[in-house]
Amino acid sequence: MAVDKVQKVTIVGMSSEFEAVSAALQRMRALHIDEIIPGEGLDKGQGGQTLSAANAATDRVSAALSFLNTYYSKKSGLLSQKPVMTPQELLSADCPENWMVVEELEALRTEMAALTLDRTKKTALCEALRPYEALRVPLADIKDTQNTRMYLGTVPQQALQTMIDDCANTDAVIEQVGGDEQAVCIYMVVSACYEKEAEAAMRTAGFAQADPGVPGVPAQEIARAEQALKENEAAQAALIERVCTYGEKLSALEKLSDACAVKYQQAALKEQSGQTEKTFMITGWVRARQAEKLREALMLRPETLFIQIEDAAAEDVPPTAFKNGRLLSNFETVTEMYSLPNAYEADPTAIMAPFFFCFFGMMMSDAGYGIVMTLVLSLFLRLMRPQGTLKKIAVVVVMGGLSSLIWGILFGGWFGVAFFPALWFEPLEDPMKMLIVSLAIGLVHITLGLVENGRRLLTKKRYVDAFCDTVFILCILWGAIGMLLGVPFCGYIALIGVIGLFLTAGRDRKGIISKFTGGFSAVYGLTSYLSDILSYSRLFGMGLTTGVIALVFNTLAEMVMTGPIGYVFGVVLLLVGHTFNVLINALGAYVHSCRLQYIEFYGKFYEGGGRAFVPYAYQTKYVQLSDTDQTV
Amino acid sequence: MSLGIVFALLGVVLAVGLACTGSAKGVGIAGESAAGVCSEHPEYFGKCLVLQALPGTQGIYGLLIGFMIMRAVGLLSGALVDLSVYQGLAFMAAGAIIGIGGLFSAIAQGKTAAAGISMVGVQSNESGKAILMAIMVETYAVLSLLASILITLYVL
Repeated sequence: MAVDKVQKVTIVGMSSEFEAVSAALQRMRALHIDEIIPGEGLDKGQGGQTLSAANAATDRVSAALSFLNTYYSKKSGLLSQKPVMTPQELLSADCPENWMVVEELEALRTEMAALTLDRTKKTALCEALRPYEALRVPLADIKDTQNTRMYLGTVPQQALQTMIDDCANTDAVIEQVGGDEQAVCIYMVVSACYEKEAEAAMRTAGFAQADPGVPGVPAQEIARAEQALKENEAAQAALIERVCTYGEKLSALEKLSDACAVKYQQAALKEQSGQTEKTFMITGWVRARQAEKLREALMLRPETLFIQIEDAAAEDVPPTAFKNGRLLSNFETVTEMYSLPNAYEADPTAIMAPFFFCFFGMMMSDAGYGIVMTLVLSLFLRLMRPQGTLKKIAVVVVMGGLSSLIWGILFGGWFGVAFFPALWFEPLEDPMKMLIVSLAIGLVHITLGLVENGRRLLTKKRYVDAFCDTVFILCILWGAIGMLLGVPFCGYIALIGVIGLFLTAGRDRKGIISKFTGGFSAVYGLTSYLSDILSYSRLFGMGLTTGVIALVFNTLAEMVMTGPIGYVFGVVLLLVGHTFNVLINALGAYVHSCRLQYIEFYGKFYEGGGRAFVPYAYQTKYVQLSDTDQTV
Repeated sequence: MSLGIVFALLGVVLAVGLACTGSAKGVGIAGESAAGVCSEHPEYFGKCLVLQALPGTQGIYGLLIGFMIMRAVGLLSGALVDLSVYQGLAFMAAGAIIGIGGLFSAIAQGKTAAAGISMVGVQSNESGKAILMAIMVETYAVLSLLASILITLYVL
């Protein structure tokens, strides 16, 4: 349906041509590359020097960039776009001037690191010396002499008295110089002849020797370190200023970073390709409709290149390339989040999208919010030009906004106020009707899922499965609904369905007993259809939430809107409240719409498990590349 | 003020109080994880925040029911409805449903969201799946909400 046919590509050429071919492929953006499986005489390519050099270059630039970004914040508007340029322009950023900037920034970074280290050391020194501030002796003088032993350090508060007592028989002089609740800092002198006793007492008390590593009087050393810290701070500030002068080079550096990334990607291709002594081999996949263009573009290269494009063989697992219209392709992101279609099944996006559209609108169900969402996101798309998934989600939400507008008109919700009467009915006035509408939509959705399952089984020529797995369940589902509505004979249809299901569900199993249990469990499993349908009641619940929360804010605003100040408050309250409501409900509507698709719908027929078709292309972070040979 | 009104207001207490407690716990649990991931990867802040916000909806549902009850009994318009005790108890029942359902589902959702946030920390591209896992829990809060809404609308 909407999966593009892909063809297998094999390219073989002379090793000397590798770089050129790699660059051409990157520009083409058409080839999904499969890693080569090494075989006889064919080794996996080694990126070698080129790759490691490219890797190192990328690392250097990104380190310099992040260093610059730490201190310099770009003054960019809210609506800044990525610059658009050609690949040639981008690669020209890889020039000596820009590398000079990187080098200078690296030098500055080294300086900064030294300053930071110095600062840490000095701070630690101050911390260590602080308890000894009262000591009037130069620390260098606290050393053993011929007849005395000197100690400086800390003793736990509660052990101090014991230690003094233990030293009583010696001539030890213990001076307390500072400390806190836990530990006391002491300075102690003892004659050499009492060394053993004194040290034994100190060990018992848990004495810890201090060694600040500076020679002077503690107070003076602290003052010196503090002075140094001040100078350090000034030096850092000056350095940061110097770093900030490189702010104007930021965009050049970002370009350089992207240029390095592109070169790295080219070099990395080698690791995925096969290499012999003189030739290389690249295998991959191309969309069938782009195959000839790929061949032509590569044939501009010398005739030494061999290109083979063929259909996938049975044992191949081709990647999944979506093919949907411009609008529909945005809904691919919903399918992608669940799982990509595998190589042997159709893309379900097209049948899912209308329901997603419908569900999203029902869960917002406010025309005012719909208009706001559509406008804001259209502006966002227009001004910011997001790419990839972000763009797709934004378009999906724009569509959701339009859907909200439609449902809002039907249900009469305009920012929680019924500015215009409901075209259909107001859910709050007739909640049962709204619940039934929700469940009915769910029934249609599930029926479609079952029918799609049957259709898929038919295309695989599994006629018996298509009949047994689809028709009986549909009989039961609609028969039961008919019974509820009192339509005659529906009970019989449901009964036929149940009997049919019971007799056939175990058909793949061996042995009469396991066939029996298979049928029984299938009938028992019918309860899941009940919970599936009831799950759609969230359409009602979420829809009502939006309206009532809007009403809450409207009521609150109305309460405060007395007098001029009240009006200002009221308006602010309305703005903040409604913004909050839109955000939280748009998120809810999006993910609950997804859930209904994944669990209730895809669960009926969709297998998934495919791998994405990701063409080898330029991958850039800061710039957007134009002028590529090939656009999809 | 009749006893019926008092019971109805107790319903508001249950709806708003319990559901908001649950949301606060849930958002808190998820927030702890989010802070952990952001300490390593500040760039995932946005993704983490979305996941953290998910258990917050139960509080909103509770407020919604509380508001509907207050509106139904005429508390907001100032003209109190003459409620019977039975009607008041019915409103209280309506409040209790979302209160209890919201309380426990928000905490469970907070734990799922926290696990999802850790997942984003490792696999940043999978935040969509993490959100969906948390939304699976949300279903039961929505069902509680629905039951509460239906009762609230049909009491009078």
